[in-house]
Amino acid sequence: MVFEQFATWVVEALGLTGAPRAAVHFWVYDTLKILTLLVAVIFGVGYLRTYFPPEKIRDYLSGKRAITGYLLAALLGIVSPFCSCSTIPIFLGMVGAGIPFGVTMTFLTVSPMINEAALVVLPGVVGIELTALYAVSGIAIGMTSGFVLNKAGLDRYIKEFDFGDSDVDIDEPTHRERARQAYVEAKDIIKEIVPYVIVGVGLGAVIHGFVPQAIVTEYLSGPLGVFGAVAVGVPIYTNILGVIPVVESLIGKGLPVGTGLAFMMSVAALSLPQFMILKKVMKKELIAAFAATVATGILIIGLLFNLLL
Amino acid sequence: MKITIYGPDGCSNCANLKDKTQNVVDEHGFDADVEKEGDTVKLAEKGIMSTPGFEIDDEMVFTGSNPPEAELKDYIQERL
Repeated sequence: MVFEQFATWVVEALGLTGAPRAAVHFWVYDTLKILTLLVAVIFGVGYLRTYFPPEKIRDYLSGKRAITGYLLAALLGIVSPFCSCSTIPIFLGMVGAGIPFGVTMTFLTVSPMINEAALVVLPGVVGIELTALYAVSGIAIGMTSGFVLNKAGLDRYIKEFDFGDSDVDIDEPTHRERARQAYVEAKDIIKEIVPYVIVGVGLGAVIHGFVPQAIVTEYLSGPLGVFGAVAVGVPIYTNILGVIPVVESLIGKGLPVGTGLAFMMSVAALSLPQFMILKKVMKKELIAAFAATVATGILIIGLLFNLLL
Repeated sequence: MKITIYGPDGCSNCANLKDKTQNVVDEHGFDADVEKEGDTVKLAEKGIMSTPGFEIDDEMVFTGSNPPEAELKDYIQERL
């Protein structure tokens, strides 16, 4: 592949050998690979998304019940935009439209944890099986969390507000307008995630080149590793795409797959800045319950996969 | 007139729309104040699900897109 050759050319040109060579090669190759895939996927999905504005999806979801609603909310979470600044208005819109509380929480859980770009980047990095496991367990955690929070009657902790009626006429956009919207969105998202990708791949490169395998297998591989991964992962705020290269190198160094998954999920799904935004619309009891439920789900998945794989 | 761009902090598309709107207003000398509202609850009260929302006085002109300056100019001019 061109990127592979380019990365090799770079390390040759720099005259690198040994660990620095491996690290720089990893950094150049992964950055190029991930960013190229991202541009293509984000533009493509952005274009398709213009056919499904959130208002339409909300109306569609409000007619659905129980399991179908939860599943659809999870799938919607996957293709929803990246930034929590976009998903929270959608979440509020769904709450305001009277969509069942559990269903909206499922959306809120899955949205940061899984997205279409991660699903396209992951197979090239950790393999297709692991990608599928990631997606399926993410959906399972989202649906279960929504269900549990609903059963626990926590909807009373959503702050009250009046959801207004925006009387904007949404004209059917032309292809040119759809493409433009997808372009603007892609540009926006790329700008936002590029730093995370570069730093993430950089960290991955350092681990790949310099961290001895023995450290990983000795200290990070026991069952406690999963707890550690979640404890470290929750407060960290980064994009899922920034975590992928780090987990890639750690798994390459012998990190158990379940621990890697748990780390990736906890970094993506829960973060302090997200809690700050949610605080405006939820009481802290609900945020705490939400975090605890999702973290427990991730722990179970991590332990389970370490046991099974 | 008062132009309000609804978009939470962290949404760079929304910040960009605000800058573009301000440009258009300055460039054509429109008599308009451009403001940005970042409170998500306010967005919900306005019924906005896709950001940014673009409001002129009390009319929500569009949501969920970031049109070029020429189009913004038309929206403003029509409502002067």
